[in-house]
Amino acid sequence: MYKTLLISKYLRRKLAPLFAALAVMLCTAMVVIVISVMGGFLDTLKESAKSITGDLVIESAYRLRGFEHYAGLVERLEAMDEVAAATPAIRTMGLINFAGGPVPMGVLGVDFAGMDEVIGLADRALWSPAQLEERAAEADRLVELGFEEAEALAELLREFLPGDETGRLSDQSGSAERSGDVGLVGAWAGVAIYPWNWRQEDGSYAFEDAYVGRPFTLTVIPLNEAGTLGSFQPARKDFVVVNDFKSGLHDVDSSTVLVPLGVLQDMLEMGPRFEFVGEIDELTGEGGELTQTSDGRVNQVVVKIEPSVLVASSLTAVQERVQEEVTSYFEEVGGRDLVRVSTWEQVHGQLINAVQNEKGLVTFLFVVISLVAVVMVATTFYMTVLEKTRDIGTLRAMGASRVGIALLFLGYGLAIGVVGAGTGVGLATAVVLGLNQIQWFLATYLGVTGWLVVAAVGGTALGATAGTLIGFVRRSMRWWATTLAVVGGLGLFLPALAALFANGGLGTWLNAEYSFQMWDPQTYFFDTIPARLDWAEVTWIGIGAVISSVLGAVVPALVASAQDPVEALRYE
Amino acid sequence: MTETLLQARSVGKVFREGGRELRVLDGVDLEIADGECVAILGRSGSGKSTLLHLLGGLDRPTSGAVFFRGTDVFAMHELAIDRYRSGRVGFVFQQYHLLPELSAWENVRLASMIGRGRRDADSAKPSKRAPKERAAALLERVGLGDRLSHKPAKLSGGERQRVAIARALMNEPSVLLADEPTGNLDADTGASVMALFEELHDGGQTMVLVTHDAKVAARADRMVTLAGGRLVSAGAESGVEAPGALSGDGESGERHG
Repeated sequence: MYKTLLISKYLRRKLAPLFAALAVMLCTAMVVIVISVMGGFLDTLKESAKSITGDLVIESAYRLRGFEHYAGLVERLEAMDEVAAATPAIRTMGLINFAGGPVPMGVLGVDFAGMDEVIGLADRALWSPAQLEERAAEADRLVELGFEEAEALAELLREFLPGDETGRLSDQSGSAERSGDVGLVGAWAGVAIYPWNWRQEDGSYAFEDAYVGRPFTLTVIPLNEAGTLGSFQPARKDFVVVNDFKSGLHDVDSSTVLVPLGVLQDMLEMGPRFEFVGEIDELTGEGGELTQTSDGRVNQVVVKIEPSVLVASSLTAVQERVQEEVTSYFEEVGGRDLVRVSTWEQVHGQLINAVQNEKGLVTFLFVVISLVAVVMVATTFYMTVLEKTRDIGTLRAMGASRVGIALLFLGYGLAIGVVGAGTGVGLATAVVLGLNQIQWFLATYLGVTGWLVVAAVGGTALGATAGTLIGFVRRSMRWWATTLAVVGGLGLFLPALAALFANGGLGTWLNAEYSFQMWDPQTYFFDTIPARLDWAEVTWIGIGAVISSVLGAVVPALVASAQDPVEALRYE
Repeated sequence: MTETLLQARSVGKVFREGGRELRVLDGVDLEIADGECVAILGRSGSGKSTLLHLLGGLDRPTSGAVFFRGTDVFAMHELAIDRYRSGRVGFVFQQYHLLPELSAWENVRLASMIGRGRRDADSAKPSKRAPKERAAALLERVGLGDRLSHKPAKLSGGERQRVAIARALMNEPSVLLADEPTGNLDADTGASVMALFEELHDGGQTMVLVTHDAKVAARADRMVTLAGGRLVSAGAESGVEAPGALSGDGESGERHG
């Protein structure tokens, strides 16, 4: 009881606990901000990685050669309770040629509607259905003007529009048959591929030229079932970009095109295989029946797991069950393929682990820095104990026990920790929530702000210095120092402000010349600083700060409680 | 004859400093009856303050024992001694020793806060009135009814000592132990503080006053003089030391400043 009263008094009366609380606050805020930015970075990275990979990826151990019987596999997987959706895909390498500049490119052959179900492909589309419809209407007008070739484009664009109001891609999207007669095939290109889409300084894209309807040529190398070169020459086909996609990972956005699965299968000679089965007359070559002996090959099946399943069990556990199912399926169909199941985390393991390690390392470093706070609290307490020696004697004379005195100072440490951690978390929350605004402000208005702040602070400092000197001579230092500080501060600030209004070019020049970009979106994967607050982490950091403060108070508290009351009473 | 409240039985105290032994008290016997006011006289360094601290359970004797109503104080558990200090004893110091952060009122209440939860142990002394009101009433009684919210720094020396007295009385102590209560005060203020002590004594409060001022001591029921660590005279009317006391003084003089 008396401890509470004294702690509240000690907190309010002295400057030292304020500094200790300030140190705790800054350390807490620092660690929270760092962990939030790094954690946000990691989360966004994971989110983007997951969104382009799906939960599980079933891949052939023979890589590009792929595996057969995939349609049955998809059926089997979709029958599993854990699986929400599965779709076959081919991931390969190719060359694309946009307007004469060939570039190596990752090529993903997908069933657009199926992929949309698994990874929400439509949500990654850069252009909305309304914008595509507008573009299709433009093509319609061209047709009216007599350019009949535009009709195919309009048809193609509409093919990739959502089938209904849910916004999901329709089954018709990318079906080669529909556009086969004019030889036009739709494809999605990563937003960073087209050389006339470029990333601006703030990380957003600038678009020049028509955003869809651009043609490109894709060249791939067909591989036969043995995994070697199939045809004697690479396959080549023209595509038309019907939408751009933006995954958030710049690496992916700059090196991936999505083309219809069937078209890519044909190009790679991975399509359905037909053979004459039955008796064939050796002389005439007649007889037998043309039968499909294989539904073709893919090298991936992408699986989406029911979100409700992932609540109860880990992705790794689900991965094992799916692996069992896949193995038993291939045993049944007699496939000779080695197929393995990976989680999205394993697929992107290298990138994610690197960032995760970085987060751990940076957090560790800042925790070490935070030990400064502990030392600070310990020092403050030691000084307080010395200063309060007589009071400790008085309290002991009044019957306070040694434990009581120890608890008094431990409680004081706890109070400082709670105040420091609380304000630190508050500060960190404000900074993290406003981080992008702060960054924007620093990048945009640092020049003018700096100009005004330097004028005001510089003027005040000059005035205070001059005032101190004059005041020293005139023997009234406080009056001269405060007066001249105000005069000096206003004397520089007001002209600086006036100069800005008088000469508009000055502000523009200052802002252009002096700007600070904390987070360069051109370098990183994301446009905005992906900070997020994880309240579990924040709580732990807060608790850690409080415990550190209490630990800092332990030794001084023991010193205080061990003091001989008689000696303490005599202390001068 | 009234009951013996506090008894020191051949109490000795030795301080060790820098390898030297300072025998501050050497076999002191003292009995204080209930309701009595005893003055302990002696020069600086004669061990009067040490004796007071031993009586109040603030310091431990090197030899001998202190009995409170027949109970050996230092044979008790440490927490029981703390409880003895808070519940049975009220200290008043020369330097007032008020906590600078607290107002007069809070300083007085502090005593009851420290004692809280221990009152059950000595339920013989129930304080029915709420501590806040009691503290205010005590300050009123020592003439500071209008200074409740003043910080010690805003009070004069005499006023501070009155607050200290009110604080010492807060837990209705069996005995008030005052160490040079007027030592830092001018003659007039000292006299008014002494008048307060007399008033308390008239009300039946047992007290022990340590002083080197014979005039102050003269107002007590009984005077004892300490010199060279021994009680050289009991009941004498004079504060003059007995012969032979000077050598003892020289040795222990540095204990007090």
